[in-house]
Amino acid sequence: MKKLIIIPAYNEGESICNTIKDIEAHAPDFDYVVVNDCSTDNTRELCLKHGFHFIDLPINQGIGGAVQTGYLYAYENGYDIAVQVDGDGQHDPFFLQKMADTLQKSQADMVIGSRFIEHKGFQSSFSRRIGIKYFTCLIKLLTGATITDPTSGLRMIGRDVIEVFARSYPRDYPEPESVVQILCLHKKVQEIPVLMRERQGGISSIRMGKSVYYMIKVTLAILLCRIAQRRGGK
Amino acid sequence: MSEVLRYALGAGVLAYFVLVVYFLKRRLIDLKYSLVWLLAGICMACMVLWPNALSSLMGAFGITVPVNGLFLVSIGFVFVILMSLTSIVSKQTDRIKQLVQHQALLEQRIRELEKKEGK
Repeated sequence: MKKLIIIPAYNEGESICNTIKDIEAHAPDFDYVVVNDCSTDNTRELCLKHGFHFIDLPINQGIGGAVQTGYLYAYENGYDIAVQVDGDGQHDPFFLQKMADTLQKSQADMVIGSRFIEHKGFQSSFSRRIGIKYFTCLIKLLTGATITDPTSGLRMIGRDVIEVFARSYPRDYPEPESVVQILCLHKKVQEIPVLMRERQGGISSIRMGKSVYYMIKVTLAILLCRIAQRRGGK
Repeated sequence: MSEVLRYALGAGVLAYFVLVVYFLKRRLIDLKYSLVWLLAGICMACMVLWPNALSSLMGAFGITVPVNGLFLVSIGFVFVILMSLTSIVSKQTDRIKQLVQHQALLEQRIRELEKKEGK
């Protein structure tokens, strides 16, 4: 079974080497590909210097476009499983095998690594936790599914969903929207508890000024996704 | 509508059509995207050619000064044109994204092949 780790990286020069080392040490069964989203720091040079497998986007596409490039790569190269692991070192590759086992055993289409099942490890800031809780409630209201960590970037998908995401994936702030997209297709989404770390370098794509835009945009996207699904179902 | 205003508007509509046709002839705008512009021009021309029809139509809606109706219709067209432009920009953005992704995947394949060949 071919398994791929997709590492979206935008200005992750400080942490990318450790992330790859960590993956090689703790997830040796997985292939990996770094998607350099037109970084302005030395991410590209580091990838070349160390011989990392990487895709180099010539124009910045944002997190959604970068991750989708990884899914396109997975789809074109016949991978059965793809998992997103952020390039900032927040995600521990130690959990990847456990996620792959869950995906297969429970016949799930997507497995999300959640910080909020056991409430251990880095729990994010208070304001972000409120935002995450809000999305959990919204998703529960619209789809009936309980997703404790809808903004988690640590998510593993099977071949069917790889195909769906290769065709269509949200552009910015894609995590909560893509979960709803999958739930609306009646796919099975499962969560397992994971420990996350604080980012080892770089800066988050969601800064304070953008958070209001983020909340409104993702809420609208989730609602639209749900409406589109209802229309399609009739 | 005064005669002077009518002639001025008539000249304006004529200039508008000349400009649209010029852009089309020079292929500066695609015919597909110019349809909404042409439709707006035809409506404006009708209003200038038959101001009485415009007056009665506006009267039916309770607009006493026909020029106000003309502005209202114009603003309506501007909205439609802006929406169609937003739609075009969104489509183009998506296509550019696809192009960038495929280019990056091809570049990666070439790099891997060159690595295998020891270049």
